[in-house]
Amino acid sequence: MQPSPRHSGIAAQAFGLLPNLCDNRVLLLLILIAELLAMVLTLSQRPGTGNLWSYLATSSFFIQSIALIDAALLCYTRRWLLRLPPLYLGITVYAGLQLVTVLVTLLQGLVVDPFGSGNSAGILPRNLGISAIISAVVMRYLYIRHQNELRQQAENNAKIQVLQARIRPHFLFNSLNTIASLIHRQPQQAEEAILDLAELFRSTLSQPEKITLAQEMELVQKYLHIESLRLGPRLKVESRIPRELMDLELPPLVLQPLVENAVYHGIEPIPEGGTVSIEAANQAGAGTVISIRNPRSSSPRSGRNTGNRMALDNIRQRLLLHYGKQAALIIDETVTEYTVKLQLPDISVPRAGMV
Amino acid sequence: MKILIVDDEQPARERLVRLLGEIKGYEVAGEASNGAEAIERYNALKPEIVLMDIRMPGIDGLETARHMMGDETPPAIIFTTAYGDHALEAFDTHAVGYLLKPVRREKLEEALLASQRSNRSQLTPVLQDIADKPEAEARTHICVRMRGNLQLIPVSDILYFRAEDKYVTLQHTEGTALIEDSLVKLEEEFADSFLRVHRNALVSINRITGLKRLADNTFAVMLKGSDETLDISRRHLAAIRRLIKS
Repeated sequence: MQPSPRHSGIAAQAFGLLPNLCDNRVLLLLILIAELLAMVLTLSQRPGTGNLWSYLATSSFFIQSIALIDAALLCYTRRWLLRLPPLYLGITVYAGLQLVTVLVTLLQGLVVDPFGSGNSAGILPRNLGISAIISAVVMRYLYIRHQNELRQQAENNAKIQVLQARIRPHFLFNSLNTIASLIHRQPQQAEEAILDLAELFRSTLSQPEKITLAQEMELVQKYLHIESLRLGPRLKVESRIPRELMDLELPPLVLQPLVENAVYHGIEPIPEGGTVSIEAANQAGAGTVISIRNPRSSSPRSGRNTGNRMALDNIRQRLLLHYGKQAALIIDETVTEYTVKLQLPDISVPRAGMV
Repeated sequence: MKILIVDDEQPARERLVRLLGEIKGYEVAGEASNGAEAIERYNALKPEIVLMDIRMPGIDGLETARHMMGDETPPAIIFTTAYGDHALEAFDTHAVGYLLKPVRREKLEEALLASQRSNRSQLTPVLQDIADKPEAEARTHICVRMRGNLQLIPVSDILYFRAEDKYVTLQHTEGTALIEDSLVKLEEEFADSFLRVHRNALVSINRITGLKRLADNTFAVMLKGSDETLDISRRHLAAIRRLIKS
């Protein structure tokens, strides 16, 4: 379902996965954590097995050297590592960390106990074990944090996109102009328009996961009310939605932007205006189809089409997130009419974890 | 000072009327809700200033302004827009007046004062600039001056343009008119709908019904709704034949 990430996309994605150890503050934090680990190891010694302070000193020295070498390696290879896909990045870093632990352990063995006598046997598996567990825990933590960040980012992007689609500047400024005009002569109407506008914007910002068709149609009516103040008799609306379909659930602001498109691209360019019709029908097994139809201007003014495509793409993406491939947006164009059909599955089960 | 307000939205016009009522020295002579109506009202009222919405259905504000600029003593035009017209860039560079909706009274006053200084010399190059841009759309109407009035001729009513001496004449379903555009410019602008058949003639592609062989083995095009035929020069014959076949 996810588009295959591009090269640069991977780097940007993995960025949060690998802390920047070239940064002094991150390095200081690492040293602190390493020291804490040394203290824990020291404290875990059975009482009476020797001088704890000297044990702390040696284990600190040992752990800090591993941590610093790890940090130096990660800092120098960072740019290269970030180009790897997240999975390979994880494996490479993990293996690298263990390798450093093994090498430092062996080196320490040579320095402290050059002839391999005494109790240094079994120290390698022990160190490797500790290192393996600790780095696994840390990496798991970084991974989860990273996943959270990604999800947050995706959600924010979606919100911003919806907001931008919602606040079509043309609509906003024209509405404000209409209200400015109504305030003197028809204050009641002006007030109503402001309330409608407020509700449209609030619904954009709140973004519940699902609303009913009845609720969405209420937004559509508010939108159409504002536009009819501006366009007057040029805008006519026919809406035929069977009562039993009003409980249908759908992602919010899927229908309203389609109606807005119909007004903007269909009604506004025609001097005498026309009719936007909204219909819904349910066919057992085939799901529900909501269609929005508007007349087409005989001399299509270009330049308005890009905006239309953007809004449609945005809705398609959101349908995909909610329904997978079970929902579709179908466009039906003739010389005189333009119809958008929104096809929704009967059982609209949100796909888990795909918000 | 007489002012004509052109906007397709009634509330927008109402508001401008109200604002202008608060400013001394200006009188709203009339209102129009689209380009064609604007030309008609303009002919009848001859206002000194036109407040012109850019985005209108049919003939938009820019095209209407261009037509008005063709008058002998064109009005000062102040454009109004809610948002997002790339034409505004051209206005900015030429310091031509435009107002953003909702319009502030002070800004409107400023623009009205400034408009008395600006005139054709300032606006014509801007409109020409906009019309010359590759992404610009062809006019939907040609505006001609008839007995001191501007008259709009839908491009779809035009049979052909023909260059004669210094002028270009335009033959439409209702008659003939003289225009100031050059044949080369017209050919560029209406490349989709008109075809050069001769050094001196551009013919509406939709109006061509067939070819007629003449006595001296040359050809002429026959036109729908007209008994007239137009000579085809040898150079253009192949292209016209291809077109008729398709």
